[in-house]
Amino acid sequence: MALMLTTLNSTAGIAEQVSDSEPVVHNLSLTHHDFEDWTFTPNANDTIAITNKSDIAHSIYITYPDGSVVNLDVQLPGETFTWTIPAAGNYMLQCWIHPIIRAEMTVSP
Amino acid sequence: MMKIRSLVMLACTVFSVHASLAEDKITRSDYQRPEAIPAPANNPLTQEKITLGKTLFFDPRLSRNKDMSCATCHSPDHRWSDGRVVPLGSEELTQPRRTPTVMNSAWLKALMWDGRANSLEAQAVLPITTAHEMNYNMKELVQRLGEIKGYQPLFDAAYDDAEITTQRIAMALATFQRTLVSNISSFDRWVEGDEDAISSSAQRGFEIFNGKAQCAACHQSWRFTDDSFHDIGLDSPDRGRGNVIPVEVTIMQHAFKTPTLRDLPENGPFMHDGSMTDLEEVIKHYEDGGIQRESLSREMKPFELSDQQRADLIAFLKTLDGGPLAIKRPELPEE
Repeated sequence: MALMLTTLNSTAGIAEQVSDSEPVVHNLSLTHHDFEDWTFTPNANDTIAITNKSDIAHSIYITYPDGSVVNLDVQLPGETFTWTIPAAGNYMLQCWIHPIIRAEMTVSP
Repeated sequence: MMKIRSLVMLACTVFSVHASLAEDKITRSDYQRPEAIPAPANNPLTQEKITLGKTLFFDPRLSRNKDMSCATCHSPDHRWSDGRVVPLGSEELTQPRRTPTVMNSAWLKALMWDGRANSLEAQAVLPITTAHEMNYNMKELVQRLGEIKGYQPLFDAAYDDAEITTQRIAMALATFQRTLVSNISSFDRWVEGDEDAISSSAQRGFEIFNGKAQCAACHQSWRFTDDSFHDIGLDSPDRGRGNVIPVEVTIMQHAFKTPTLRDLPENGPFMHDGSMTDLEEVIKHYEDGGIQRESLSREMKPFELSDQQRADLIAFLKTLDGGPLAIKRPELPEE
């Protein structure tokens, strides 16, 4: 995973797609009460690397298109955590601690 | 039914980076009051709906025994709470929770101590139908209100016809509650630039609030809450939000919604269980850091204040009091 992060990393908003089929890592920032806007277009099998840039803890969870939930535990300030997108569809990113944090991510095939 | 996928961490990796954290120094302007009351597009504020909602709010006929209104526990005489450690009707509960204020609820992102309602409209029917509170059901309530002639013109004015429905009752109650907004306090005047509006002690307290004590990690915005949920380490068996979301989410065990700090009652009670009656006791609890357990909020970090700093912090909190709202109780419709 760490290798993938160094070789296929994308900056926030601009994905450096190596090929149509090769997964990409997209960077996403989490602030006190929001995800920063992103402009990248995630595809299935890509990885989202989310950095908690706030000085408070978060507890992000992701609701999948089928309604099931992935719990990403607790993210302390400064931590980056990753999530690999399993399939195309609409995903909802939320925080257990801060209900105000809510972002929908549309993933292409 | 919500499912939590197991072995999630196989697909997820967490690692630390030395990225610069947000250097957000909190200033007075972060506490500026909003200019308008928000309302959902499908339930806009209208004077007619406010009038109807206010009447319903004070009417004890919304309870089965006609002896309890919303205002019984959310009383204007007690800053729209009840001043009680254990709410009326909750005496027999093993884990009673203090009655929260409904002031400034137009801005709430999550309602009830455990966040089980996500809008004022959804919340409005809960006390009416809860057995130990108003103990009624909406079907019979709709029928009962339909038999009270005085309600017909109120519903007609609010909705352009006199039909009474559960949804309309909830929308009117929500609309009235959205109008309950804290008066301008001395702190608000200070935020707006009146340097003499609060004392030097309170100004030092403001710095402690945002700095050493880190109260602002959760008590943010003009309402002094970000509507977040935390286990603050109280000695209470109540699992709070842990009762309404999957048990695997450890951080939400014993977690309760961060309450507003505006218009605090002089002697509390404070905390979700009403277990504290003065602000010094509250502050010392945070200084101690609470009970150490896995669910304890990561923001609960012990610190130590001097007696003077504690007094300054309390002086600041008292500047958030805008005084009681001037409100005239409605005349209830006749049958």
